[in-house]
Amino acid sequence: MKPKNTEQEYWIALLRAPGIGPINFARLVKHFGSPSSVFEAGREQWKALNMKPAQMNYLQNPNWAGVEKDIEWLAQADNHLLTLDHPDYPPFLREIDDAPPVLFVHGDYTLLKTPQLAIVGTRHPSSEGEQLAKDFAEYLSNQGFTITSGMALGIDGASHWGALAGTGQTIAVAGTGLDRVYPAKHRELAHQIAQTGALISELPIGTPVNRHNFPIRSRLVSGLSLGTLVIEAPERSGALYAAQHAAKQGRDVFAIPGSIHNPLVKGCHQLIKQGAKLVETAADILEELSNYQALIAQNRNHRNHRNQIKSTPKAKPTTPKQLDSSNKPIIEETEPSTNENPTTTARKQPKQPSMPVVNPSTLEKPKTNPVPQLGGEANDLDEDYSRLLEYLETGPTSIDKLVEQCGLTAAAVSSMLLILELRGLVAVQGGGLYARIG
Amino acid sequence: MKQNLGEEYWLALARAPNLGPINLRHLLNHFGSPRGLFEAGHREWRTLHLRTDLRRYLQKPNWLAVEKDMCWLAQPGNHLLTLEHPNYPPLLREIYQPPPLLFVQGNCAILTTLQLAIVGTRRASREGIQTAQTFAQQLSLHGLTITSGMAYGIEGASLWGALLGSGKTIAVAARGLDRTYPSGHQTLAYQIAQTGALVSEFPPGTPVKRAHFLRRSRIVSGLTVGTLVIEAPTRSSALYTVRFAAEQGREVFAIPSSIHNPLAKGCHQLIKEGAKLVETLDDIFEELQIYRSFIH
Repeated sequence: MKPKNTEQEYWIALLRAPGIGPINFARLVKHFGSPSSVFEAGREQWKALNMKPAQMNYLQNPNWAGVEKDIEWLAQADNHLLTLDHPDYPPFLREIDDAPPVLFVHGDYTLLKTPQLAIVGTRHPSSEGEQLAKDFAEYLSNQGFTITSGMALGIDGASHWGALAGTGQTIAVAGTGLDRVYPAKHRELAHQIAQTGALISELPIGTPVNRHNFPIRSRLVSGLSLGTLVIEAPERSGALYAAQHAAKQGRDVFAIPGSIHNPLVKGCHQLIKQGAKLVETAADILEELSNYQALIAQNRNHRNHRNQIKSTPKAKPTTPKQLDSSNKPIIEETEPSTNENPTTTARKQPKQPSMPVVNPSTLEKPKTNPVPQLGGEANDLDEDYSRLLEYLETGPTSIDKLVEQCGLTAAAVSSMLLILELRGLVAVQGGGLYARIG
Repeated sequence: MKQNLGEEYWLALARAPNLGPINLRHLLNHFGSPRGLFEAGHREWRTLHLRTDLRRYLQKPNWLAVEKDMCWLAQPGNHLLTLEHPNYPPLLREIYQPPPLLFVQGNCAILTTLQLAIVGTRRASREGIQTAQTFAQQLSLHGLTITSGMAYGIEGASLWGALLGSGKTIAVAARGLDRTYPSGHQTLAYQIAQTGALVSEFPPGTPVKRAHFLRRSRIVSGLTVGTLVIEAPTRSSALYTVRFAAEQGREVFAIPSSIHNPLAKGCHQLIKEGAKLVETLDDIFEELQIYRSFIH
C-alpha cells in the first residue's frame, strides 16, 4: 500500500471496492472512523465483520490505477469531489437511506445545497409535454428553485433547457462517469449546464453506460429535491422510478394530468391515484412546498445578489432549435429584430461583452403569472383569439361548435380561423375539423 | 270534506304553503299520516304553533290541483312514491330533507336499483360527449343504473349512453313531468320513459325555475352511490351535484384532462380535494366493492 495517499483517495478507493454499496460503505466508515482506517484495519478485523475474500483482497490491494484516473479528473478546472462528511454535501441527499458516499461534481457545486425541484418524465414526450416541462422549469427556476433532473432525452432534457432559460441553476444527475456524456445528443446541453449549473454522478470516472445504473441514479434525482414533478410518463416509464424513490424518501410527488385517452399520462394518473398531488399550475407546487418558502426565497435573493456582483460574463444558454421553433414565427413578427436568431441574441447575449455585465435574465422580475402558458406564441393575440384557441385545446372541433362556444358569428369565427391558420397555430383536419397545432 | 284516499292527502300536503321537508317530517311523526294532520282540526294545529297561512290551507286545501295530479296519475306508467312507499329509493330516504313525494313516469321499480350519477357541463367538447356516452353505456351493461339531470351536454349524453346499454336510466327533472322538456330532449324523455324512469319532486304543472335546478341536483346525488363528473369548468353547475354528494357521504369520481383544457378545471379541483381520479370503469368499481353483488 502506497503510504502517501490522501484521505480523498481512500474515499474513492473504497468506492471501487466490489460488493460494497452505499449502505455498507457508510457502515464501514462509521465502524472504523474513516475510509483510510478501513484500509489500515487489516484482515483480522475485516474477517470479524464477515467480509468476503474478494473484498478483503481488494482492501489489501486497491485499484490505485483507477483512483489515479479520478484524481487526474479532479485536478481539472471546475471538477469537485464531495464526500459524505463534506460540509457542502447536499443535506437533503444525506438524509436518504442509501446516500452515495461520494459525489463527483462538474460545475457549480454550491448549487447542491440550494432548494431543488426534480422534473422527470418520458424520453418520448409529445411536443405539448416537452413545452410544459420547459415552461414549468423556467418559471420555477425564476421562483428560486434549482431544477434537478436526469439529463435523459425528452422531458428531462426539456426541463434542463427550461431552467437554463430561467436562472441557469440546474443539476443533471448522470448515470455514467462524468468523463462521458450520455446520451450523446445532449453534449451541447451538458456543456451549457456546466456553465451555470452542475453535472453530478456517484459513479467513478470511466464508468460506462449501463442500463442498470439508471434506476439507481433516479434515487439521487429525487433525494436531492424537495419534491418530484412528473410530466408525461406512460405506464411503465423509467421516470416513475424517481417518483417511487421520492415517495419512499418522504418527499412530495407531483404529477400533471392529461386526457384519459393519452397513453403518455397513464403513469401520472397512477401516481395521482396513489396520492401524488395533481398539478395544473406552478402555484400548486409552491403551495405544497410552502414550508420551504424561506429557503426558496433566500435562494432567489442570494442568486440575484451573486449575479449582480459577479462581473464575469458567462456564455448564456441557447435553446436548441427544435424547442425554439414553436416560438419563432410570432416572435419574428412582433419583435422587429434584425438578428437572425432573436430569441437567443436579443434576450440573452450581453450587448457589450467587454464591459462588466449583469445577467439580464436575472434582473427581470420573476413573472407574476403563475400559469406557464403553452408557449409564448399566442401572447399578442386578443382575447377572442385566445378564447378560440382555448376551445381548440380540447381537440379537433367543427366550425359550428366553435361558433356555438364563442358566441360570435360564423363569418367572424371563420376569418379568425383563417388568420390562425396562416400563423401556423391551427390546421384543418379531416372532416373539416380545426385543430390546434404547434 | 269529501272522501279522500291517503294518496290524495299526500298530494294536498305537498302543495301546502311554507311547509318544508323538515316541518313536514315533524308533523307526520306527530299525526302519523297526512290524513291525520288534515283531520286534526284547528285547536290541535294552534297548539303546535302552525302558521296562520298553513292553518288556513289545511282547512281548505287545493283539491282542484290534487284532482289534476290524480288525473295525471291515472295515466298508464305514471306513479306516485310517498316517503313511506316500499319503492321509495332507500338511499334518497337517508338524505337530509328527502323529498316527501316523487312523481315517476316509467319503470318505478328501478328507483330501488344501484345507481351512479354522471354529470358535467352543458357545453361539453366532442371528446367529453363521447366519454360520457361510453362510460354510461358500459356501466349500465355492468348492472348500474345511470342517473342524471336532463341538461344538454354531458347529462344528455350519459342518458343516451345508458339507453344504448341496458336501458336502465333515471332522469331527474326540474319541472312537473307533464311539462315539455328542452326541445332537443323530447325524444330522449320519451325513450327513457320506455325502459327507465323520469322522476320529479314537483307536481305536474310546475314550471321550470332556477331554484329547481339546485333541488334537482340534491336528488340526483341522493339517489346514487356516487357521482362521476366528466368535464366541468371551474364554476359549472354540475359541481353542485358533487357538493351534495359529498355532504350526503357519497363517492365522488372525476375524469382528468389536459391542464390546458378549461373544461377540466372543475374536475382537477375535485381530484385535488379528494375525488377519485377515473381512467377506466375499474376505477369506479374498485370504490364500489361493497355493492359488488349488484355489479356484474
